[in-house]
Amino acid sequence: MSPILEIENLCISIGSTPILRGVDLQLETGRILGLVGESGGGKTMVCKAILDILPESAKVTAGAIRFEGRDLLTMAKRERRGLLGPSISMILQNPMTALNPAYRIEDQVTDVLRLHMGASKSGARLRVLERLAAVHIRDPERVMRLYPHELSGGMCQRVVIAIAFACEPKLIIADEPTTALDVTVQHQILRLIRDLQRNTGTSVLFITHDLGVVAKVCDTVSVIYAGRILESGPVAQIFSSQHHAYTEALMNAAPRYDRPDTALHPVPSSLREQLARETEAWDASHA
Amino acid sequence: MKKLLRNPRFLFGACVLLALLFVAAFAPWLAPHDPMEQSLLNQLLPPSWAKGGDPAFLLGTDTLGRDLLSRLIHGARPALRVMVLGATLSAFVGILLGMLAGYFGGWLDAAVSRTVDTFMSFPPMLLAIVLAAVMGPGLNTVVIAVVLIGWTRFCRVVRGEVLALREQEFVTSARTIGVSHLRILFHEILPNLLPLVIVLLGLEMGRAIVVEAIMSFIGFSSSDLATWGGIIADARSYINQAWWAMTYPIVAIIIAVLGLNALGDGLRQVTDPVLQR
Amino acid sequence: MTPAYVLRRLLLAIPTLFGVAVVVFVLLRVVPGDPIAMMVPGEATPDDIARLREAYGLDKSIPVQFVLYLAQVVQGNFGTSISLKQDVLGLVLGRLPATLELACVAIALSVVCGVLLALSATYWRGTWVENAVDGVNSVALAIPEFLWAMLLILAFAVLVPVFPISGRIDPVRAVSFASQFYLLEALATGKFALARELLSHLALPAIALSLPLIAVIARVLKSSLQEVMVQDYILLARVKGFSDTRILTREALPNALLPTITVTGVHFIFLVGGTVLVELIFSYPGIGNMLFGAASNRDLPLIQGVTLVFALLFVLLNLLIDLTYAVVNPRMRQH
Repeated sequence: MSPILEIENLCISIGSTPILRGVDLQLETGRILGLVGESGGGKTMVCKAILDILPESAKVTAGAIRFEGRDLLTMAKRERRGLLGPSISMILQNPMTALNPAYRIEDQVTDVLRLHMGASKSGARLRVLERLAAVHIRDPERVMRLYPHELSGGMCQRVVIAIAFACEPKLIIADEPTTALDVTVQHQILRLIRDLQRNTGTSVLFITHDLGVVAKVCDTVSVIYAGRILESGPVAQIFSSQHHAYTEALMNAAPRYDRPDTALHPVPSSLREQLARETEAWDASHA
Repeated sequence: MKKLLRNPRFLFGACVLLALLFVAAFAPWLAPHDPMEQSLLNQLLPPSWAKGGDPAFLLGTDTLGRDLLSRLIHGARPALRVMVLGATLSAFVGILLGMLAGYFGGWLDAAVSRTVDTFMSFPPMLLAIVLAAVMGPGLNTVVIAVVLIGWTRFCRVVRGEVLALREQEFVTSARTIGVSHLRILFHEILPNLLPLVIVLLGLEMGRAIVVEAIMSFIGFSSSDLATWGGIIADARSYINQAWWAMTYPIVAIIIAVLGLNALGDGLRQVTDPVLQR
Repeated sequence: MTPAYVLRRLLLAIPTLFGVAVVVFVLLRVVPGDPIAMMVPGEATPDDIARLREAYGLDKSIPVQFVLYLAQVVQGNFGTSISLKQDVLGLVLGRLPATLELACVAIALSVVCGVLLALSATYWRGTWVENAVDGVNSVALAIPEFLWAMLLILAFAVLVPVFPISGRIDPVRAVSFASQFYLLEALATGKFALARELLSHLALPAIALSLPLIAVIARVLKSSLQEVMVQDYILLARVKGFSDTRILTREALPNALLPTITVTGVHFIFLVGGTVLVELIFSYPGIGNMLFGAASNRDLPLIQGVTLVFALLFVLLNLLIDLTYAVVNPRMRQH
C-alpha cells in the first residue's frame, strides 16, 4: 500500500533564510508517524505546509507534498481547501485557545458535521453525543451545552480530538497535543489518541519534542533538526539499535522523573557544531 | 529639539500656528476693508475670479455687502484669543487640581475625581449652553466654556502622572530630607509634567477653536466682532444664493484644527519614549 | 444577568442623576442678572416682579429652593416654562420622541456602517481597501462634527440637492399623526411614502451625528478583529474547512464585538449629546433645539428640565450598553 502522505524534498524559505531543507517524510496508511525535534527545528512548518496555513512571508522553493498520490502544492486552491475537514484535520497544541469562546461545545462539533457531512441539526446532535462519548467524556449531554471556559484543559483537548475525528478524515495532524496538559492527563490523552486511531484506521502525523511520547504512541519516527531530516525508521528499530547521535542526545536529554538526582544532559555542543556545519553545507550546495 | 524640527507633523502644525498668530496680530493691516463696513450696492458678490465678481472684494461679499476676505481675516482674532486664553486657563485649572488630587490623595482626590466624573457626564455643548444662559453671550463666556469643557482632560491625565511620579525615588528622598510638599510639587513634579502638558495644550487649542466656532455660530459669542462661526451662521441663511460664502471659514477652521492636532501629534511623537523606539 | 443585576445598576445611576441635578441647579442660580426682570415688560412695578418671583419660587433661599425642586421632580412636576408659559414636563415629552427617533436612526446607521467598514478592511487586508478605510476614518475623526454638518449641508442640499436641510417634515404636507413618533407611526401603519419623506429629512442630521461614531467603531472593531484573527480557534476553523467569509463573520466577529462594545460605549453617549448642536444646525424640532431657545431666554425651569432629561437618557443608554455587554459575553450568561 502506498503511503497516504509522502513529502519529497520539501524546501521552504522565509526571505532568503531556508527553514525546511529538503524534508522527506512517509506516512503509511493507517499508521502513526512521529515527527520529533526540538523547538525551531521545523516541525510546525511541515505541518503548516501540509495544511496550507504558512505565514505570508514563507515560500516553497522546491519539493512536493503528496496526499493519496496527488501533489497538494500543485493542486487548485479550491480543491486543496476542500480536503480540509473531510480528508485532513488537525489537533492543536493548546486546548484552551483552540475552541471558540463564543460558542457552546455542541455548536463547535456540529458545525463541521453539518458542513461536510450534510447532517441535519438533530442528526448532528446525535453524532456529537457519540463522538463525545468516544473521547471518554462522561455526561456528554451536559458537556455539550457548556462553553469552553467552563471546561478543564483535558476536557477541552478531548473535545478538540472529537472534532478532529468527527468527519472520519483519512489524515490527522496532531501538533504537540499533550504538551500543554498536566502530566497525568497527558497519559490519558495519548492513550485516547492511540485507541481512536486503531479503531478508525486514520493515519496520524504526530508532532512532538518528546521521544518518550513517540515511544508510547508512534509506529514510525522521523527526527528533524534545523529543517533537515536526520533519520527515519520504525520506532522499535530506532530505539533499540544504531541511531543518529542527535537522536541519542534527545533520548538522554529528557529529565528522568524517577531518578531526580541524575544530572540533566543537554545536547553536547560538539554535536551542535557538527550539525551546524552540515546545515551550512546544505545551504551552500542549494543556494 | 532638533528632532522636533525634523518631525513633519510638528512643522506643519507650527507653521499653521504661526500663520494664525500673524494673521490675528496684523489683521487690521492685512484686511483690505473694514469687516463691519456695509455696502448695499455690493451685496452678495461672488469671488473676484467668478463672473460678476469685483477685484476689490477678492472673496466676494455677504448680504450686507461686507467683504468676506476681511471678515475672514478678522475672524482669526477672537478665534486666537479664545484658543490661547481658553487652553491655558484650562491647563492651569486642570493641572492644579490634578496635581493636588494625585499628590495628596485621600478625600481631596475623591472629591476632585467625583467632580471630574460629573463634569464629564455632561455633553460639552450642554455645559456651554447652560453657561451662556447664565453669563450671557460674549467672548469671555466662550473662554469660560472652553475651560469648563477642557479642564477635566488635563486633570485626569496629570493626576495619573502624579500618582506614578509620587512613588519615585527623587520624590521620596526629598521628603526624607524634609522638603515641604509645596516645594516638591512645584520643583520636582511639575517639571516632569511639562512634556506631557505641552502635548495636551496643543490638542486643547485645536478643540478650543472648534468650541469658539460653534459658540459664535449659535450666537453666544460676541456679536460685534467678525467671527468664523458667525460668518458660517450668516452664510447658512443665504446659502441658496451664495453657497461659496460658507466655504471660506470652514476651510480656515479645518486647517487650524488639523494644524493644531498635527502640532500635538508631532510633539507627542518626539517626547514619548515608547514611540521613539 | 439577573433581574437583581439590572436593579443594582439602576440604583447606582441615581447618585449620578442627583449630581447632575445639583450642578444644573447651582449653575443656574448663580445667574448674574434676573430672569424675571428680563421677561417682564418695562412698565411692570416692583410689586409685580416680586409677585412673579414668588410664583416661580425664586424668592426663597437656595437650599430651600433645591429641596422644593427635588420634591417636585420626584412627583413629576418639572415646573413651568418661563418663556413658553407651559408645563415643562409636557413640553419636553412632546419634543422627546423626535430626538429619540433621530438618535436611534443615527445609532443604527453608525453600527451598520462601522461594522461593514471594519469587516471590509479585515477581509481585504493589505489591499487598497484597508488603506481606504483607514484614510476615511482618520479624515472623519480629524474634522470636527460641527464642520461635517456644514459640509453635508453644502454637499447634499445645495450643490447636489438630494436631502432637505431643515425640519422633520415638509410643512406643506397636511398630515396628522396620533403620536409624536412620526417615523415609527408611518412605518407601523404602512405609509411608506410618508416614511420615506420623514427619512429624507432625518438623513443629513443622522449622517452628521453618526460620522464620528462610525469612524470609532470601524477603527476599534478592525483592530479587535485583527487580534482575533490570529487566535488558535480561527486556525482550527480554517482547518475545519470553513470559507474565509464564514470565518470572518461567524467565528471572528462575535469575539471581536466584546472589546469593541467596552471601548465604543461612551461614544454612543457622545452621539446623543451631539443631538443638541445638530438639531440646531438642521432646525430639527427635538429637545436639543429647545434647549437653545431656553438658553437665549434664560428660561431656568426649561433648561433644568431638558438637562435632567438628557442626563436620564445618558444613564439609560449606559445601562443599555452594560446590559448588551452582559448578554453578548458568554462568561456572564447564566445556565
